[in-house]
Amino acid sequence: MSFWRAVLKALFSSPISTFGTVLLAFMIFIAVFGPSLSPYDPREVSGRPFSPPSAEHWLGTNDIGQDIFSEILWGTRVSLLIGLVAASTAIVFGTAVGVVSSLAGGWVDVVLMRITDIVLTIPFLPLAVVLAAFLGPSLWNTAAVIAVVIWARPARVVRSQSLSIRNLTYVEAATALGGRFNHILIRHVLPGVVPLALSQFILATSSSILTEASLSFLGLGDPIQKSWGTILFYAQARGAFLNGSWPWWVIPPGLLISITVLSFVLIGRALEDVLMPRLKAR
Amino acid sequence: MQVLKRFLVAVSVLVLLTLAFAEHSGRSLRMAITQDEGTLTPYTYQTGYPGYEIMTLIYDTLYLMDANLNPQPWLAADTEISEDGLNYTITLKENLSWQDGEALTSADVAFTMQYFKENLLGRFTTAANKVASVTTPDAQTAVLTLASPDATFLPNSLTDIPILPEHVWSSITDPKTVEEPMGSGPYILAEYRADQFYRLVENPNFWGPKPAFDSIIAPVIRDQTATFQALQAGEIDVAVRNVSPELVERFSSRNDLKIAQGPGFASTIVIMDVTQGALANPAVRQVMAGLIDYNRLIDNLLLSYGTSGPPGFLPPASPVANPNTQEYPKFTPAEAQARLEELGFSKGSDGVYVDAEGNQLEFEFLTYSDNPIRLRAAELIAQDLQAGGFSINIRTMEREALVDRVWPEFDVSKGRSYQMSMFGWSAPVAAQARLGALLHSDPSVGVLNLSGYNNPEIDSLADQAAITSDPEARAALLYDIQEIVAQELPLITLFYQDGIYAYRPAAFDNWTFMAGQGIINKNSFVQK
Repeated sequence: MSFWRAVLKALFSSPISTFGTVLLAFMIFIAVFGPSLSPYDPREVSGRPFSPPSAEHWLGTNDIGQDIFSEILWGTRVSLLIGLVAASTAIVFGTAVGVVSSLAGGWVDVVLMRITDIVLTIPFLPLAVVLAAFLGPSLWNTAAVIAVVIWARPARVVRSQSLSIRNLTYVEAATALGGRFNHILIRHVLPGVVPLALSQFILATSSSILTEASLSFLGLGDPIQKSWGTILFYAQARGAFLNGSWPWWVIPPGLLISITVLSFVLIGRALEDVLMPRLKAR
Repeated sequence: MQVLKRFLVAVSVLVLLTLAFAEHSGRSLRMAITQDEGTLTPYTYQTGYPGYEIMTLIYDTLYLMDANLNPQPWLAADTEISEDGLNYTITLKENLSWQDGEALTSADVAFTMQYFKENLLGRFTTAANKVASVTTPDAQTAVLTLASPDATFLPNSLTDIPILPEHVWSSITDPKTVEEPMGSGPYILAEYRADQFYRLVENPNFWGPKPAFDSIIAPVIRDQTATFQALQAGEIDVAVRNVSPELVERFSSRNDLKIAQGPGFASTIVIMDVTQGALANPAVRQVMAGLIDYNRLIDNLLLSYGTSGPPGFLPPASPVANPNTQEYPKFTPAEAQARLEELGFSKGSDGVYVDAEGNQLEFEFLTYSDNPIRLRAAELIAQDLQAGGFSINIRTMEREALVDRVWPEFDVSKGRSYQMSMFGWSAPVAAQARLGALLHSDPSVGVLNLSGYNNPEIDSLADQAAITSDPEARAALLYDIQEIVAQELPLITLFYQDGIYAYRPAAFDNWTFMAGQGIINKNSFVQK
């Protein structure tokens, strides 16, 4: 319980983290209620194509007359969902690799960490682009691709934390007293790495959202699915930068991407600041 | 006095330089192309448009299509066709020469036919295979004997086959590896950097009309936005790319740019594997075609720069388009569902119709991930069909992956593995009314029959049309084919986009707009 209280405290620990928290709360609100607030079905052709903003269409219409404002509201849900799914998958996997690697030691550690190193050294976006092109566009493929490219960093971070916990004298004592692997893992190691995994998760979510937007913008996402990235893909493909429609077609989704990523980064930093000293003190 | 003299000299030098520069810029052209086109030989160019057009600036054909799609003598001076339609006696123009100075003779023509037969290359091999034998009574005369009479041989094949220099190609065993193109055409390839640019220069010894430019620089610009930004910024003079509808208004309001617009013959169609499942049933295909809102595609997707349909495939601008097959019968969603029930389908719990065995009317619909117009068209069509009780799963794919599913190895005899796909044919298919190629069940004739359509009636009509030289009789046969196509719908023709091109008139303003093809054609590149 005290852990969650600490998290809550961290969220409002400084004006900056409070700002991040408020922004994120706003984005989550849009993701949950956006579809019921949106004036049109984003798939419905509801106006003339390429209309500028008006009373009927607050952000104008896109290249086939769909309402951009509604697209963005719906897109928030898709973008956040892909971000969260990809980040949770990556964190669960990364944490598992990190913990197993540190506790098992020996050749298991060597093999797992070399694989992690390989994934870490391969350039991030090009790998994602190749994988996405290979798997073909769909929502879940996009999430999977992102998870595959981002799990390695959390694995590394979790492993070092887990190693330092394992070498603490009381953990060594528990091992010497015959504590089994599972006991050590559940009683001592996991409680120590979960806060770290949480802050890693927050940062992974922001990079997932950014990667999803990049992949979709390059046409490697699912172009039929409304997400911020696909809105930008069509804006670019249908000449938004040439025909002057970019102020209402490109800037709003771009701004939302920036705001969301910013809010996650601010929160992630705040969590690290607050949670890490607590761990060190222990 | 001395000062004034110097001043005058300086001014006149400046004026002369300016004139020279203006003259120079008026004779050179910067033309953005969309992708790398290989080494620009008949075996290595990549795209039907603009690749073929650029390749034929270096290589010549016997005949050249003019702006109104009438074949005009080019390398040939005259052709006599025998009564039975089998012998084509071609007299070449005088003093023809290759770019390396050798004379171009009838032996080169004979060699070319033989070479394309022996070294397979879809488009030209098909044309060359019509020729059974060639004799060359003298250096200026070639007699081509066809295997069977073919009314389209001169207008379609002789305007298409590039003539190869025998003295170069006779020693080439693997034509795909030729790196230096050398033909008889108005331009010489001076420089080529793969994926970056081509530089063509005027052939000073060209046998024909003077080339319109002394040099053509053709940079590869893959991205549409980058292409048209370069055009607006004055970095290029013309783009081979069609101007997308949303940019027309913007470009036509500028003084330094001009728009050339006309009917296009490049089609956008939905192809279906009609050999199996519910799609094998013409009545189901009629319901699908009737559900699609073509006006919405034209108004919202093309911003009215195009013509819809027609069910008979050939666009209204084609001289042999059947006026009776221009409109699809309409189905509202309710009418469509009623019709599906008549056909023995019933409504499933999720609103999707199922046949007696419980198979859903559910189709995978492939489309290109790099073509926003086709992506959006697929999105709109899927909405229309879903309203009528179909379930459509759009699957976007890379161009190569899609072609591999619908047209493996560009050979229809290799079969197909798809249900529905967005597709399109480049202008010559409609311009030359190649209905036999599109629909004939024999893969050696129906080389473009991606639907696997098989209808003996169409086969025999197409066979007859192929050997009918009387234009009216041939048109009548093509009309009949279009009527059957409109009924049976082995493919659904969605629309023909207008050809819209933007260029800088200051650089060159004497473009020839070829019907259905646009301004990038050989006629534009030589002086009239």
